[in-house]
Amino acid sequence: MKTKLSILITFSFLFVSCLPNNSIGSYEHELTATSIKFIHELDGKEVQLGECLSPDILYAIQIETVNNSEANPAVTNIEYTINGTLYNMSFSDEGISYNPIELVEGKNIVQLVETGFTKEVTYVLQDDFILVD
Amino acid sequence: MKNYIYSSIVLFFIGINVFGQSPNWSVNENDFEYTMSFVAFVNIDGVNLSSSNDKLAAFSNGELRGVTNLIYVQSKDRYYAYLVVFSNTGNETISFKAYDAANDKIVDIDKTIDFEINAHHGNLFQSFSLANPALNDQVEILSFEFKDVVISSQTISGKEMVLNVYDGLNLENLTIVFELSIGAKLFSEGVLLESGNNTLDFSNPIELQILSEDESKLETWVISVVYDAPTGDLVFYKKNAVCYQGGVIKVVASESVTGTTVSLFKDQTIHTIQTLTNGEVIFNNLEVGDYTVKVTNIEKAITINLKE
Repeated sequence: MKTKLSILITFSFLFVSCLPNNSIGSYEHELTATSIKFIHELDGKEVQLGECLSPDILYAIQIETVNNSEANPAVTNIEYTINGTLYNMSFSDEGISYNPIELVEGKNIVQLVETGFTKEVTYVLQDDFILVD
Repeated sequence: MKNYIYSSIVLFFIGINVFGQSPNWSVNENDFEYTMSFVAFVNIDGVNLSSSNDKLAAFSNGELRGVTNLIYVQSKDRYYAYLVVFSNTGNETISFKAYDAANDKIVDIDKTIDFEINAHHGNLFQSFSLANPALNDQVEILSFEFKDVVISSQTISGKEMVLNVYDGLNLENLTIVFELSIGAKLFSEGVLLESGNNTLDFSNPIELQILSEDESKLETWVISVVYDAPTGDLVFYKKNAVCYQGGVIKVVASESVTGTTVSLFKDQTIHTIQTLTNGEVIFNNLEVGDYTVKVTNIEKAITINLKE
């Protein structure tokens, strides 16, 4: 009888361990990134199309996430690229978060890996002196 | 005959009323022992009286002490009052009235002067001003330059002005462009000069006289023109503008000179003037457009574009 009880308890633990989280009331769901954009780091305002980008202003990449489930959000790493280089931003809840970005001259393209959604700005640096013939 | 007499009398009175009547100013010179004299011009409301019917009279405590009609002086193309004032004592306060024949009115002149025995005031070049309202007595040179010539620098010491121009400029025929105190006049050797209309030879320092509007002050200035130090070869650089910062033009001289003027023109209008410092000058924050840099007698056209 003791042996049967031990086996039953063991199976019970194994069964519980194999269940998805939500089936025991603590299910967590990955967050979904809905947008990525360039912002002014100082005030969070979005960089507008054709806006003049200045080296005197700090810029950042902002990602917004939502929780598409009623389940608790899982800590989620949202992957994105800046000009092809992979980065990630960690979210523990839905909302917005940002990472500073150092713009490079020319096109700066950010892309959400999961959705392929992109944003692009062009940054122009003043050249050094050139000789006038 | 009676009608003829009446008609003549009527016409006589009509004539008096139509043509006005000049003041009946008369002085018995024999009543006075001393004199003082004036060569004066009379200005009423900004206009010089210019008729031999105009009169100038001097008074002391309301008593007439001298009177004269204005006289045309051909050499000056101007009317003057040669006025003799009489008195039996010095230090009397003399006041003046003018008769403006054209407007048939007598005008009080605010200016007074103390009688001085045998004193004389005014001459044909610098005559005594009797004006209502009073004329300006300032003799300042507000600006002095040459037409189509860039002045590198201007130094004033007392009544001496030194103008720096680029090396090699022909100094023999420079058209003077100037601005003086209101109403003041500029002369060279007694000849009246007009801004933008007279050329002078500045190979050597020259003397110019400035006469105030009321002709009470006459100052002599010495104007010298000297060449800038040679800049050597010049090299021009530029940075195009970007959306957040204007363009830049830099001029570098092979000689490390300081003080030479570098003028920047935009659309043929002067934009900025700077001077070389240790052979270099920089014009910052230039908007997009076509510029011309002028250094000494060298000009360089430079276009500032927008880098996008």
